Amino acid sequence: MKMKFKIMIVAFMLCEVMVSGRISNAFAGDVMIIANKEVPAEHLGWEEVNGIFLGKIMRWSNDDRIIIVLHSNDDIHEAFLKKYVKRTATQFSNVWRQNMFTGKGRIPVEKNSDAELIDYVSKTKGAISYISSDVTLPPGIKVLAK
Amino acid sequence: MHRSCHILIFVFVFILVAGSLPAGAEEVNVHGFISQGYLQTNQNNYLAETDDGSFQFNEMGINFTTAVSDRLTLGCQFFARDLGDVGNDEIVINWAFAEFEYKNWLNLRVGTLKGPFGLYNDLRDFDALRTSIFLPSSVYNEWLRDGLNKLKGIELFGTVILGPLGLVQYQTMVGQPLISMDSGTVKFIQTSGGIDSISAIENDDVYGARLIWTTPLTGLRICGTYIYSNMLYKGIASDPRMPGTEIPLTVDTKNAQVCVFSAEYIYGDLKLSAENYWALSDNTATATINIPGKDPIENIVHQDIDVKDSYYVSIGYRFAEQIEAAFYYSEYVSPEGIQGTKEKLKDQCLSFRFDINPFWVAKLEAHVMDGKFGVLPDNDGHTYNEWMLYAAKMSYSF
Repeated sequence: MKMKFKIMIVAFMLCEVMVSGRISNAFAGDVMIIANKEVPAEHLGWEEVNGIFLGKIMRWSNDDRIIIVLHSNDDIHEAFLKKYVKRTATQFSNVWRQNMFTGKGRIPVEKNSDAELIDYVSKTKGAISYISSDVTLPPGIKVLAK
Repeated sequence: MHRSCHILIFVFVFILVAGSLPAGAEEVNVHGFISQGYLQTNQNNYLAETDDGSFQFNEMGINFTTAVSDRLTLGCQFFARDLGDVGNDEIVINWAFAEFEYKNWLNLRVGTLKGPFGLYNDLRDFDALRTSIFLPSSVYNEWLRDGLNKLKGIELFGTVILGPLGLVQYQTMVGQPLISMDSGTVKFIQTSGGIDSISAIENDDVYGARLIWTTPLTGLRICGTYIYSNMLYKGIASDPRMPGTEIPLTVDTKNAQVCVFSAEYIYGDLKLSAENYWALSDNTATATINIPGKDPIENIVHQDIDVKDSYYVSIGYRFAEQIEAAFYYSEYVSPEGIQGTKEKLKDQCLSFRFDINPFWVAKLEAHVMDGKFGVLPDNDGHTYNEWMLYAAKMSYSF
């Protein structure tokens, strides 16, 4: 019995050795949290951003529905998750897959480029998203965290 | 066939209703999954006929959800599974509800719902949402899955933001459990209670509540679950001292209370979790012994069930984007039997999960088992204390 347990430990360690050269996040810049200018908030702490993007907080303080918009760029997405959600991309994806297969929460919208994302957030009541801090924002959008 | 026909009609009506939703309603989202597993034990049979290996281990589901308005969502999931004698791929409604959102702190669901239970009951039906194939049996008994997993009732839920203290998600529910006579719950009662067959099972409403506190310490969640119910079942037992004699038996379970205390900590790719399971109830078993030519004799036995020593601890780590491993130690201690003995099942499980791509997941897992609780004899009629369970599973979702 002890031998079997040792085999398990060795297998676990081998797995670590096999993949010890993981590639680090390539996005060096910072991300900011943006929202439609109508949302009733001027600033959000990371805890509130975390609660919103993990589907725990579903409405703004005026009870308008929160529309979550994700960026399809992996580097920006991972930098956002690391700074605000404190989850890896897989963990974040699993939270929403769990919601998907239990019928809970509304699945976030995903946009493929900065331009598409900005356009959607500026035109959608209650929308919140994130983008590189270097991007210049149009008037229909406000910054909630930087 | 009859049930399948009802389900087809339900799907048709759902799509028809969804198709005629008012302007502003969202489209119908469709998601699904299918998984096929293989189980093998070196001794004993466990959950299926695993002594020779078994492919009777699969799950599939498809769900439809749509937001009818800003505050109202409709959804349902059809589900089928096979685990040995349980399920047999019969299609059932897994969940189907209307959800009305009022405020962050107060929302309502009505319909066929998943019961609040520990941190991970919500993801029991789809193993691709977790690292291991089997959740630890000390808390998430695979036999009892259908009993805990589905209630027809009403639920209030919400999130209360506590500022610097984090936030609390609550869920309160009252409902009727949907336990069929061919369910795992019934088979579990038979196996663990030494009953030959069960003819009827009656459940009062179940009351459940769960609090999940997301603490100010990043990555730490603490959870408490409380469930209250009463249940009565009737069956036939036999006495080895009187071969061929059938003894009608009624077991009345009063004040059945289940508590689960849970904690989870996530730091980067590392995930630690632990849960402790308590079960308390007052049981009265009435056996009627019929002796030809004499009045029936009723033998009544009272037993207080008190299980507090069942728990597990687990550690999981994602080594790379595609590879995750986890280990858990789980220990279940059963209530004292009539002879004053307790059955145990200690389970050391090592799991590997491979995310082949966003749709396909493969898993391998080995369990070093110690104990006979919930175990069936092997094909030669023997049971062993020390045994191994190997499991493999492949899942696809969209």
